[in-house]
Formats: sequence, structure tokens, C-alpha cells
Amino acid sequence: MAQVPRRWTELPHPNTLGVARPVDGAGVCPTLAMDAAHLLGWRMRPACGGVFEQQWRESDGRRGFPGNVEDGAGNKVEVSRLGFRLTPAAVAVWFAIDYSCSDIIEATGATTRPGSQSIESEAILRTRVAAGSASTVIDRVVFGGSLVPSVSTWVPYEGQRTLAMPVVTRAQAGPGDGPRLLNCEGYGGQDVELVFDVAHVQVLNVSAWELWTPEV
Amino acid sequence: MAVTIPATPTFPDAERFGSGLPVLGTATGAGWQNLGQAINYLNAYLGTFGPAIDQGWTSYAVSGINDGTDFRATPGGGSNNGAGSGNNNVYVRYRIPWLTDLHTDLDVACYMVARAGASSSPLAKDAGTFTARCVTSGGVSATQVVAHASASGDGWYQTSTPLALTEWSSGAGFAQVEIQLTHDAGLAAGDLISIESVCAEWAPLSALSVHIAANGSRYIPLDDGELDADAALSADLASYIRETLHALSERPRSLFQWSGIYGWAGNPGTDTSRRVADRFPRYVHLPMHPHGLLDRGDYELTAHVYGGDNTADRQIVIQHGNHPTGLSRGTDEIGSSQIPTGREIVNRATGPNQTVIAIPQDAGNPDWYTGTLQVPIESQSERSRVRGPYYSARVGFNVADFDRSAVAVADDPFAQSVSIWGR
Repeated sequence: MAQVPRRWTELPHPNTLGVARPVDGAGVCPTLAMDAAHLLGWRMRPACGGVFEQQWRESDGRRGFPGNVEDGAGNKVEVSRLGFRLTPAAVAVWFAIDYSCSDIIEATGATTRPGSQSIESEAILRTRVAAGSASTVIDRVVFGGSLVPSVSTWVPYEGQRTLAMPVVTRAQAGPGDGPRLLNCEGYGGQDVELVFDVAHVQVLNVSAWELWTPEV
Repeated sequence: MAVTIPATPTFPDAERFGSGLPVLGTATGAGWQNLGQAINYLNAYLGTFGPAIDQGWTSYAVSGINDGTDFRATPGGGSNNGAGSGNNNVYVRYRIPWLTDLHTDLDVACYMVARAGASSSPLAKDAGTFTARCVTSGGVSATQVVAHASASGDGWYQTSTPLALTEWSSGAGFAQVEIQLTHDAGLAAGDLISIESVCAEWAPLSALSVHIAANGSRYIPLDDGELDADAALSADLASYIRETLHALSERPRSLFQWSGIYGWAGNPGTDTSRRVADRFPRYVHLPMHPHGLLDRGDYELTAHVYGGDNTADRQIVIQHGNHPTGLSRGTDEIGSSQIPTGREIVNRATGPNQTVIAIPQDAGNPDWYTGTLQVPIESQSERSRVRGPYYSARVGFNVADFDRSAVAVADDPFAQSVSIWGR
């Protein structure tokens, strides 16, 4: 049964654990076990999956993510990647990104302005292998929409879902919202890379966490 | 009798420990044994996956080019990287929190790219190396060198053996890692080599013994034999579970690793291309529920800043809050009515939610400076009872909007690396 997890501070004081006792539901040990189960089940799993972040440096007047450069014909000439390793228990990767449409300087010298572009970008989770080897696409998801006119602020986009919860997305990304969960079941323990293939936008921040197996 | 680290843990339902229930050890639906093994699993894996370091850069931000004389950092406006002819050092630096005294092996990988001049095609020759090294108070203590191979071209290159980090013994509580990019002597003028992504992960523990957390608490392996069906539960066992859970709850996570250096070689005050950009927010989404912040009182952020300035004292301000401008709740992002937040970070522009890292004038000798900040988490009425890991705070630094962000603010740009972790 789902229960709100307890705080760590509610773990029993060590001085209360001074005697051996049967598990009868009334003692400290079962209380400890329940606390532990709550904590492990509700809190530690995502924490173990960890988080990675990504930031990009400003250089030559162009901000953002590698992969935001176009060749003038709308063709993406680069993609961007973050490497990490899945835990053995991982079944999905949740990601959130912030991106901006301001101040994009394309290869032609043209500047893309907010509100003038709709975007359709793709996040691809694939195996990370040594250079020269072919990787396997694990899952991919397309996201995008019309960017809200904004020059000085950052347009957020965040897609998120968990295994048992309804889809929640950040509103400004517009149409195409949906699960932003990359399924990685069966790839636990492997080295992977999360690749963003984006057009017309600058990705400024990326965060991701992995989700573990559902609680029993 | 064995200390088992399961391939994938089974988390027992708390109701298995209800009043009057039998102690199920090995049978289907086991409670205590699953519990013990899940704790062992976290003991071995917590913080080992989920990178200690993970960063990518704008193309060629961390790169060098053979201009016929020197290996010059690009795109540094023609300046070389600071040490004159033949110098070929391009660094990025990080500090990462120690997990335990047993975690010493760090797997490091870089996505390396080599180009001939302005060509977009991979360069078909050995182009250079990246060197990952651990730097301790006594100097470089471990080094791994990985070469870019012409036959393989662009792609991920990983250390063949983990980088052995040894700083724990000094009690520093963190490891310091440097990545150096070095070009190959055979590169022609105009050839370029670049690192576009770097990631590093602690290797998980394959066997458990009693080991120590950074705060001095212990991790005690749980033996299947003590968790067997109908076995009496010893006082020791209960104490071990509690102590290990406490240690796990305090294990730090690397939240934010950023190093914006190219061509960095000693004088941050005279070459603006070598400093952390200060124009836009840099942060990480910090999940608040159910992980991380929800179930405890304060959340502690520790920030390490590498930098300095020739001419003046500087400072980095660390603050926290909900969201920067443009990410205010309700209209332009996750709506509060949709998102069960549980608890939330309290916005305060000044006071105990702010700390300042002083960076003294250093005459061209940058160094690391550290500050910590307690982030108070307060209950948020009935929404705390609704599940959903969908509310994220932010941790990072941000010049323009520091009063509302969960940020550390670089109020001057003379910093080359920022590492933040939390627990």
C-alpha cells in the first residue's frame, strides 16, 4: 500500500535497538523495517539513479548546445550527447531540458528569433560504445512545439512521466507533448548516451534521472 | 551465510513488516531478506551510476589547434594557452564528492573529435590524447591516458582501467579530477582536436565490507543468514540497518559539474576567453519528490569554485530558491495545480539561504574555494500527500536572477570551474 515516506529523522534512535526481540509488529525492529522499506521504496531508488546536468558555454557570441548549428538550409550539422551509465535496475530515463530560441546565429549569419520558429527535436537514448563501433538505439522521443516569443528569458520545456503517473509536461513547449520518458528496460548496467538532435533552438540545460523498477 | 548484492534489488512492501506477520526470509515474498539485499545494493551502487562528472560543450570549446607553432586553444581569439611555444595544455577541472572509503575507481570517458582544418569529416590520423588524472594535495596521484585512434575516428574513448583516486585518505571528502587534452605531434597546421563531452562514474562495489561515509558513519553489510526465515532479529542487525540507512541518506550526490575552460593556463584576469561565461543561468533540475529534498529537513549544498583574479578580491554568491525568471510556477511551466510538490524550497533573497565564497586576489594563481548552504525544505499543505516526482528545484549559478533561483551566482566571471553537490 502506498504510504508517504517517513523522514530519515524518524528512524529509531540507536539506543532503542538494544535488545533482540521477535517480530511481532509492536517492537522497534518491525518499525525499523517498515521505515526502511518506505525509505528504500520511495526515496532511494531515484536517488541512486542520480542526475546529470549539462550546461554549455558561451563562445563567439553563440550560446548553447553543440548541435544547434545549421548549415543554412535547415540541416542540422551536429548533434549533442551526454554519456552516462545506467544502473542495473534502471527501466526508464526521465529528462528535462531548458532551451532558448534567442540569439541563435546560424551558419549563414542569420539570427533566429523567438516566435519565428517551431521546433521538432529528438532525444535519443542509445548505447555508448567505443569510437568506431555502431551503437544501438534504445529509445527515442520527439518533442517540440512553437516557441513562445521571448528574447531575454529562457523558454522552459520539461517532459516528465513516471511509470504509474499521468503525463505531465511543461506548457510552453506546445503541441506534441507526451511522455518524455525513454524506456531503457533490458539495458541496465550499460554505458549509454543521451543524444539531442535539435533544430532552431539552443539547449541550455539538461537534467536527467533514471527510474527503477516499480515497487512491489 | 553470504552478503548478497542482488543484480537488481527487490524492494519489499512496508506492509510485509506489519504486526503479527511471520518473518519471511527466503520464501517467495520474502521481506527481511529482500530488505537486507536492497540495502546492500544501495550500499554498493548508490552514487556510482549517475555520473560524478557529466558535461558537454559547444563545439570546439574544449579544443586545441595546431597553428604551425603552438597547440592553441580555440576559439581563443588567437591567444595561445598561456605558456608559450610548444605548450599543449587544455584543461578542465572538477571536484567530486567521495562516496565512501571503498570507492576509489573512477571510469572516465570523453567524446573526442579530430578535424583537418575546417573540414567536417573526421581526421584520419592519430590526433592526440586526453589525460584523466587525480590531483591531491601532494600532486598528481593517478593518471590515465587515452589516445584518439585514427582508425576509430570521432567517438567515445574510455580509460581502459579506472582512474584510481586516493584523496580519501587525506580526509578531504572530495576527489579532484583534471582532464587534459593534448594534441599529437603529427598533426598538420590547422588540424584540430576537441573534446565535446566528458563523463565519469564511480565503479560500483563488487563486494561489501564495513566501510565509512564521509561523515564518519558506517556501512555495514547485511548477511543473508541473519535475515533468514524465522531467524531471530538481533540487536546488532537492527543497529546495522539503522546505521547503514543513515549513512546512505547522507551520501552526497554530484549535482552540478561545470568547467568552462579552454586554454586555461594561469592568468584568468587577462584573457576573457578563459573564464566561466556569466550571461545565462546554469543550473541543474533537482528533483524534489520523491527523491532528494522531500523527506528530510534541510538539504545541504556544497559548492567548489576554481578561479581567481590578478587585481581584486572576488566573490561567488550561492543562493537557492524555486525558479529563475521565466520559470515561475503556474503559467509557463509545470503548474502547481498539476504538480504535487510535497515540500518546496523557501525563497529568501538574503539571510541564511545565502552564502558567499570569497575568492581573494591571487596574482595569477587560481585556486579552489568552497562554501556550503543549507536549503530548508518546508511542508506544503495537502499536496505533500500526493505522489509524483515532478517538481524540480534548481541548483546552479546565475547572474541575472539570483534572487529567485536555486543558484550559486557568479557575480564576477573569474571562475573557471564550479562543482556543486548535495545531500
